[in-house]
Amino acid sequence: MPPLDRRDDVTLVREAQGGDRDALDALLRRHYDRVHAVCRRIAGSTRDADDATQEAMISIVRSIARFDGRSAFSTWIYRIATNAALDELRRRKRRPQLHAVDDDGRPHEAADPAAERRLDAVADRQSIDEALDALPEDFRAAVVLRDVADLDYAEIAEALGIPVGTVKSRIARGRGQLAGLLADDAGNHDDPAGRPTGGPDRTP
Amino acid sequence: MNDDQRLLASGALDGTLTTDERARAVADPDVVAEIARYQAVRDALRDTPAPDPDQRDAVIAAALAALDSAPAAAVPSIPVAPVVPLARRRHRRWYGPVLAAAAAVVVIAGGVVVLNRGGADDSDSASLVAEDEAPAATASPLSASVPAPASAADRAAGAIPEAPAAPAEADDAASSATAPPTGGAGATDATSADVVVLDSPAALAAFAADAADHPPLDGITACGQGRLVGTARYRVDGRPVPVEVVRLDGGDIAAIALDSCTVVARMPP
Repeated sequence: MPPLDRRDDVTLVREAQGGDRDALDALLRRHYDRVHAVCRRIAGSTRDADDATQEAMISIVRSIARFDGRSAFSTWIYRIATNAALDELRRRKRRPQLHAVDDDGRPHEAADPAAERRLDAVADRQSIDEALDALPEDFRAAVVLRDVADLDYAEIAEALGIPVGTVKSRIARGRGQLAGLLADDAGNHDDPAGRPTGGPDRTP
Repeated sequence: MNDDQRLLASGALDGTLTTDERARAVADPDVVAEIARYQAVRDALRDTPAPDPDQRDAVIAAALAALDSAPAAAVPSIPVAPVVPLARRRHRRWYGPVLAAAAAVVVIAGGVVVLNRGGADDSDSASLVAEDEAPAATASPLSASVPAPASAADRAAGAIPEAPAAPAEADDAASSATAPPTGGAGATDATSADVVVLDSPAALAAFAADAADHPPLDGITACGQGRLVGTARYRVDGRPVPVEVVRLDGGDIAAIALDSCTVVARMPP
């Protein structure tokens, strides 16, 4: 693994725009994991996240010469990643669904406690994936950019091209729906006493 | 849980509440419980599987390899529609019968000349007669109908005023520019005749309106602005420039030059 580059984004962007391939490589590596996480949460599966991340990375490379620095570099790339992931999501939804197997894999038997914990983790991930899948795209993008990409409201507003007030509202409503969906899922699948049930957003 | 409570809980989690709002939040047990639920949602969202390191290296290598190919190289993979220059269609609609009659006159006149000359250099004579007598039939129809181009600065600022376009222009644009985007070769050749040529903001809007009836295109935009509607050429200073037509976040339709990623035309929704 290449050594950690201590140059800040602004410096790296400037050098990358000047043709420094190493600087560009460092930028991509620095942001790759979080871009992938954003794509993973918006696109909904690891396979689609991989594709969306690759599209986003290529787009970043091709467009960086024209990045004008009016927004933070991270805001700019998360916007690209969000678009790529939403495109991937829509593409997947147009594909016929042959089966409903999660691509992270779900073992059928737990051989030891560690395996059981891994199983739980997979189940939890599947729960959040299913909850996200039930969320409108607008809400999903706003919540993911806040809670996964860690952008502030103004940056999300810029990335999504919507007013800050709309960002707040979408995040709040998105979180409310996710909390309700996860609570319902917990109530349906394991100890109902351990978690809150019946989110208000689910109440007719 | 009402919207106000939900906003309070969400703001509390993000640390954006005012002193007064914070006091209201902590005094409301429902809001306090909701904050805990939102924190659990955040924790779940952040618990993403770590990306595969080999995959990471491969993706970054592939992205860097894209440095060696120009942005325009991505264009052929984006479906394009067959070209029917809008101005030409307008001429066909309004002047078609006149042009047909003129062409008939030219043919007859040419035939007379040929008969009179005995056919030794007939082709040259005939073509000369045709050029002299029926310039409208042979000159580029675009040259007479392209609106005066706006300045480059106006274009970059997206301040190009809407060109005065008759309804027929929009109709033409819709019917000609918006066949469902289908694959076409030579999309990067500025002189090829297989992509739509747009020559006014009105035509741009019509292109986008018609594209809305077709399945959305996949893929992100080459210039990273808005959502892709399709690809076309936009006539700038008489030159058809390859553009991607995008819908910007505010709903505006824009034609963005692929070589410079500057907005060359823009229309409100």
